[in-house]
Amino acid sequence: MNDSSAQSLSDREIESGRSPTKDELDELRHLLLEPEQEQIVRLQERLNNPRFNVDDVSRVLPEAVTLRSSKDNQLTSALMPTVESALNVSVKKNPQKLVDIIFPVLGPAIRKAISSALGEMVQSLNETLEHSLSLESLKWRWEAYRTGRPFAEIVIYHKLVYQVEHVFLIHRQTGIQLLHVARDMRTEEDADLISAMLTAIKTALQDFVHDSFGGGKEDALLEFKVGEHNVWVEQKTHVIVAAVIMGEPTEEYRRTLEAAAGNIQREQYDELEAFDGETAPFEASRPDLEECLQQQLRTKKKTSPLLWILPALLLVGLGVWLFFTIRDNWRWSDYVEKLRSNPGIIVVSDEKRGGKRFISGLRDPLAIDPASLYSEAGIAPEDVESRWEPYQAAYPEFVLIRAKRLLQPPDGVRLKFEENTLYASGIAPRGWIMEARRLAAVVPGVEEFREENLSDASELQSLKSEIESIAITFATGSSEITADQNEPLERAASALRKLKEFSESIGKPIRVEVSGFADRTGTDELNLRLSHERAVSALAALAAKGMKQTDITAKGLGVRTDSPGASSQQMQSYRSVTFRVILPDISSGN
Amino acid sequence: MIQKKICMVGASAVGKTSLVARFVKGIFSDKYLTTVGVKIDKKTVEVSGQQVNLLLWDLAGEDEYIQLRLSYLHGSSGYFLVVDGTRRATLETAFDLRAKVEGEIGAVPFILLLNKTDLAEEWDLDDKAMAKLSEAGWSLINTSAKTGLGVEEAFLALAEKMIER
Repeated sequence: MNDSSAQSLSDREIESGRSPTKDELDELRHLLLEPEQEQIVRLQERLNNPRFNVDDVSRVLPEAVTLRSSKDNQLTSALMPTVESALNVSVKKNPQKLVDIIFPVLGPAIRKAISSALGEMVQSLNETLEHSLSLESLKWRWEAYRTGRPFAEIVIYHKLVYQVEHVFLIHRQTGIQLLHVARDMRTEEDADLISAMLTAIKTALQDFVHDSFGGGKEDALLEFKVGEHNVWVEQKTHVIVAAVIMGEPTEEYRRTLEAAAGNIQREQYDELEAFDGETAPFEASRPDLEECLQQQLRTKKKTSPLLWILPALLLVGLGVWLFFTIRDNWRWSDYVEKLRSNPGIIVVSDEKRGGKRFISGLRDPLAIDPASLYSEAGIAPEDVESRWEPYQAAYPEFVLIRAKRLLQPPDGVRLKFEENTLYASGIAPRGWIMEARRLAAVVPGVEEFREENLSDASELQSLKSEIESIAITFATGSSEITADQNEPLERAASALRKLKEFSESIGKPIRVEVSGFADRTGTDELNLRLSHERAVSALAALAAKGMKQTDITAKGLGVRTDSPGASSQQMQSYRSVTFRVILPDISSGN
Repeated sequence: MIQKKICMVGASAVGKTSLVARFVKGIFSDKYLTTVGVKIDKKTVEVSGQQVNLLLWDLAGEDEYIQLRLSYLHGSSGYFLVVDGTRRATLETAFDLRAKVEGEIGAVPFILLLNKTDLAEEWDLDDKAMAKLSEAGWSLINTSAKTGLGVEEAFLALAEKMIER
């Protein structure tokens, strides 16, 4: 509306043909621009008022920060010094506040770090234990010793299917290394040299292949082996990715390598094309390259429990079988040894066939029964097949037994076998002695029969009768032996000497009683004394004649009981000394 | 860090390997060992305030039996043409090689090294040869791998040329 009114005024003025005055122009300006001028004044006021500014900025600040942060890092860089110094001041002023703030974060972080470290430690401990005592590990330790390589390397070598140790990113045109990642970064220093050499090798090989077999040089090569390491090279227009690998990588790994090379070339194409030796921009490709540092462990084959239960059972079975076999063998050899030590048994053969024992040999019928030793030795009789041929052993004890069985010595006879000679001693009837002389010769083992100490029982009997028939007579009232009594005295002495020899030959004392008697004349007391004196006197006279009996007693028996009514002849015989021979109980002298 | 590839090019037995050994390790040996294929070494130098890692490709020398393997030149930022001052023929070889290198990788900075200057009495390059060289207008440095003369300067000069480019 203002415009139209201004237009109409101007038109009118033009139509009237006069120039407008200054006031008119001011008015016109006022009419035309007043609303804008008011607006400008308001804006001016607003700009000059700091209060207004703060309000405005506070309204847009969050959006502005968000917008700028999404574009680049400049805001962060700008704020960093301020935030740092603010933190610094805050910490200096009141550290507790910051501690309170970060404590909830710090606690879990520390716990996580510790548990992760522990986890790794347990894992490595497990691995170490698993490999420190097994047969496999001993083998590997030997290999480590033999080759002079560290044990850990040997373990890795055997446990790995493959492990990528280095990955190089190389600028294809220049052969210059753009980036290098390694499992063990100690070799970093010479990595650029290795990259250059890899390129040289690649170039040489490609030239060689090209010269020798033709074909395009651009063909993606290549794998080659350096010692125990495989080198795989993947190339694109501008980049080469080379991996140094221990072990044999899988085909899948080739795809990883290919993908990494492709990715890097795509992402950094411009930098690669403009490459002039500055490698810093290629740090951005580190994650892609690190992706290629792969390893694959050999999976342990799970063995079926049957595979170890079965051998274990077999082992136990074998153990039990071995135990019983050894025990049985011990028992058997013990038994055979015992048999051998028994007189009259000769073991000729002893063997085991089909689980049974066979034993054979010679056995004297007088020897122990081999079967009687089974239970003592712990042997089952049904397990043994035995065959014993009878024979006669020359053992002295056996010869003696055989002699006794054959000769049947009576009581009073003792047999003894020494040095192939059979000795007989004691008193025996004449008939037996005659028989023994004949039979002893046929007793096996007896070469000679000796009977010096064997006495004829009838001889002894007649000697006894002879001695007992002798009487030494005395004058009335006297105990003195007269000369006429020399003859019976002599006979008695001689018979007693013989008796003594008998006694010695049978090894037993023969007792002799010398009895003195008196006739009825005189008192009993006197007669008793006299009879005693007569017995002692006879004994003394006999001793003087060489009688050596020790087992001889003298006693006075007084008046003979059968003396009444006797003649003078008889009376004289009453004044006498007689003998009584008491033969020993020869039944116990065997 | 900036990395640059430099190739050592020249006839056989002109002293390429010895120059690299003098520059990298500071040693010299009279013993002659033919380089078969390529040997690679590296040395970091400082050029106009920045660290430059030089990768030195020491290529097998060219003679009547062995041809320079041109593939090794790819990616070089510069190269040395090495001439044995006691053998005139090696200069001719250097001319040939320069053409081959340029044909393979284009015009990149290079310096011609007149090596074995320690053997002054055997010097074989006459005025005519030197005139031909100045005609070509190439950068030229006298070196001796044995005494170390000019070696460090030559490498630094080439590094500077490459960085300026």
